[in-house]
Amino acid sequence: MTRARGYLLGYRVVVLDHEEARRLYSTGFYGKPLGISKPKGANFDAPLELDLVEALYLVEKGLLEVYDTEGKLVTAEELAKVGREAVENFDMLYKVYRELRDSGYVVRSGLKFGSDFAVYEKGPGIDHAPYLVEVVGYRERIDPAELVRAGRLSHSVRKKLIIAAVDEKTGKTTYIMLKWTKL
Amino acid sequence: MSNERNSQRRIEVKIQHDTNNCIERIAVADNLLPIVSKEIARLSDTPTKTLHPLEALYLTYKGYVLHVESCEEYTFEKLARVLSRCNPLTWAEFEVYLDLRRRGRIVSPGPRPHTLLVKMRRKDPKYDYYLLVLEEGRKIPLSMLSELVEEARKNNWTPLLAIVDRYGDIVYYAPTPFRTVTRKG
Repeated sequence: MTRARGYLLGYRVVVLDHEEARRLYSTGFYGKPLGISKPKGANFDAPLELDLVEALYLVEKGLLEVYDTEGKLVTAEELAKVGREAVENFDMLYKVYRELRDSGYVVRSGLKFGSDFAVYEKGPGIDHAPYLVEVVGYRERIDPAELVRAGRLSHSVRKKLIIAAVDEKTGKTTYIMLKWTKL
Repeated sequence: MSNERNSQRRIEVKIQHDTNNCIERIAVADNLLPIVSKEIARLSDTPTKTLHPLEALYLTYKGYVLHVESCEEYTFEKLARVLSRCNPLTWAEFEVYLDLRRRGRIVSPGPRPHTLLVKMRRKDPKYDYYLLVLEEGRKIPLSMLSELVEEARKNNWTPLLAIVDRYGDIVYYAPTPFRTVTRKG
């Protein structure tokens, strides 16, 4: 498959060619077509917006090449650097995104649910995302009330909350699903 | 009559302290073992000879007064204050213990600090749940969660979190491992 061409515009990457946009989206529900909040499949006629985590993943998979506004090729390393500028825990987010994608899940932004990622087993428009993922540092100290808030939020939208705890020293991610329960 | 009733609510104990001079265990006088064993529902039918501080607090909450070798006494108020000096989670742990006992669960102190073992019915052969008490505002490392899950798995218990908010309300959460690799291929 030929690489789609994306442009780094601020803190996002945009694939301007509509055909390439459709092709990339249909590969694994990557990105969001401009002006279409819930695309029904890849039959859209619009540019495709990718966030920096998605764009880096696609660059590393050889599906995308990114250029800056001057037309200069942006390497994966440079893209990650921009990501770190834009998002404080970019490396941890990217690691979790990559692991979930490599495991076959469709990973999308979870912002509208108040989490880092919404994770689908099949894809948007096919199934509802069953999981919300919150990315934290394994050695980070968190207030248990945060767990309750995140748990309650996911329960209210009938999704399961997964805490992805990234150990930056060992490189290991521990995934823990939290479910509200009665005892 | 009143004196007789009072004496029935007295429990003679010996207190064992740890190296930090915190109450570690409370040994009960032999003649009071039947009463204590009845009040402190545990898994084993053998008499409860030594109490965890939380269980002792429960006894005082039920109106018993602990007499330490007839010279010092502990009421609920006094014991709660003394225990909280060494373990600031004492009150939160007690709220969870009390919540579970009131609902008929069989509860025992767990193998690690701030943990409890729970089973649903006395006749159940083993403990079902391994519960970690957490308190709103008291931050924990995420590693604590995965250690709880791992230890529960090794012992065939279901891991649980009991999160106590600042009003004393308790929310229970079940943490389970999520294996990302299962879908690959």
